[in-house]
Amino acid sequence: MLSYVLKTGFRNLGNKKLFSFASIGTIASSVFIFCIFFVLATNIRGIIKNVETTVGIQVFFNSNLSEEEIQNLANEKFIKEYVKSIKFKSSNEAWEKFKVDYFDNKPELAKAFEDDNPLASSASYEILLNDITKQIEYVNYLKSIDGVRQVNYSSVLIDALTSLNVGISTFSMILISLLLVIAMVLISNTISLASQFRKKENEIMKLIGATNFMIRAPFVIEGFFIGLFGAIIPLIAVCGAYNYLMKYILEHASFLKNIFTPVDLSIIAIPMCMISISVSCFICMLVSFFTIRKHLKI
Amino acid sequence: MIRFNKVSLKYDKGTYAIKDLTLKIDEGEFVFVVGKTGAGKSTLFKLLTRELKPTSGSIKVFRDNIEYITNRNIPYYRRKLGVVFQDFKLLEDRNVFENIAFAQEVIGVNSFKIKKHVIKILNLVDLRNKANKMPNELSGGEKQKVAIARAIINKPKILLADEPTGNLDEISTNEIINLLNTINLNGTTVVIITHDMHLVERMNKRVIRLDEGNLIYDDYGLDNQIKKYLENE
Repeated sequence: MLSYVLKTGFRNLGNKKLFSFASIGTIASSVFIFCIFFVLATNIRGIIKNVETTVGIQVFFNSNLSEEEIQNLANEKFIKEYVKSIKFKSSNEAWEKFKVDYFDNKPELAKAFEDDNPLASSASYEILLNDITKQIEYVNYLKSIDGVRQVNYSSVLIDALTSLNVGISTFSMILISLLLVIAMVLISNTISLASQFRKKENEIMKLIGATNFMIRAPFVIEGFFIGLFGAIIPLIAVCGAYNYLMKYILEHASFLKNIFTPVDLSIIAIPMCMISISVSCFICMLVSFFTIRKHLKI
Repeated sequence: MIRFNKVSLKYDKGTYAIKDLTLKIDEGEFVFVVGKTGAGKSTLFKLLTRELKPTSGSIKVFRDNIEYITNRNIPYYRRKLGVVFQDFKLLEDRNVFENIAFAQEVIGVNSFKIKKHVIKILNLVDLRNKANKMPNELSGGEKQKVAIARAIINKPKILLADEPTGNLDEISTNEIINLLNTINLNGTTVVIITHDMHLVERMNKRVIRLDEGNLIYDDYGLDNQIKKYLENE
């Protein structure tokens, strides 16, 4: 019985090549756009993750606090569940780093401050977060603590990346929804046509005792194949293109590596394939089921 | 096997397709149902296949009141019937073997058994050498033999044929009637709806004549009115 249903469902697809092609094409367009945005969103999330682990918050304290008091204050108030690490930098360490950064070629300039640390009140803490979305909330909290003089953080990059990610997701959702509506109408038409095409066969089936399942199932299977082919074609194209692009960037555009490291295809491919194939097949089968219920009163 | 008890089928307009029909067909009988166009023959056929439900009265087939069969159970009821049509209703994109096998595929018989059964039926209808032919390569008589083979492959207890010889020449008609007779002799109840009074006269079987939905004759051989009509033809 299963072999009959599968065989008939697959054969139906070939009986109306143009309509099947149009349905598969529309589903493929939707899945293709989804894949492009999925790849972009995953890479942007990768960059944000990277930023989360490299761009920190720097906290400076009032000059009347000793380094010991600063460390006590930090241990008492800075620890939160989304704080990844806190690192203390004494005023001496800050001065040593400053000398390396700015007077490395002219040590005589540094000698002018030999016994006097101009950054005496620059003991600070560098804090990294697990979740960059908590940054503003945490910065405001730090600013409210008595003894904290200044909090430095880079919000521009994070804000830009987060906005870009939200923008891409919203735009892709709207576009995919539109394409899915078009695809559903086309699939519905394909299945309606199939039911007309097989009207005689269905009549005979009814009269020789085929159950509703036996009559309807091939149409649902046809929908499944539309969904499957509609997903596989763009997945192959996107995975192939992404793989090629990654290789190209690594070989010919190594300067880009300093800006971002592309997410590996193996990490992207599995969730992308699973989501694309399951959603595509499910929607197509659902549309087929309801269309055939409407057109085939048994 | 088949019992009609005061069966009526009334249309919304108030006219009757079948009116107060009471009849009984026993197991193993060979019955012709005759009548003019609009007499109610096809309605009778559709009532038996449960495409239509009577508006009053009851129909018992295999001791069950078929008007009470739920939609879910109709397919299982229909598997006990074989149906044959004037226009054969063959699938043009499948060959003879596949057309006959189709009746078993849709009820879920496995492919090994299907092959065995189809070969046996092809021998019975004398189409063994035409198994791979497409319907458009067959004569009318051969097409009807395929349709009959498809109807009897699931071993129905009742075979219903709606004008099975309507599109056939005399030789093919005789072949089909002989085949239906053989099926009947093997124990299947055969009900044939036909216009062909010459055929009915020749066969000398039980005849049920309907006129405007009423039963007006039920006996062996043709009634005098029809005989006279045939003599004057």
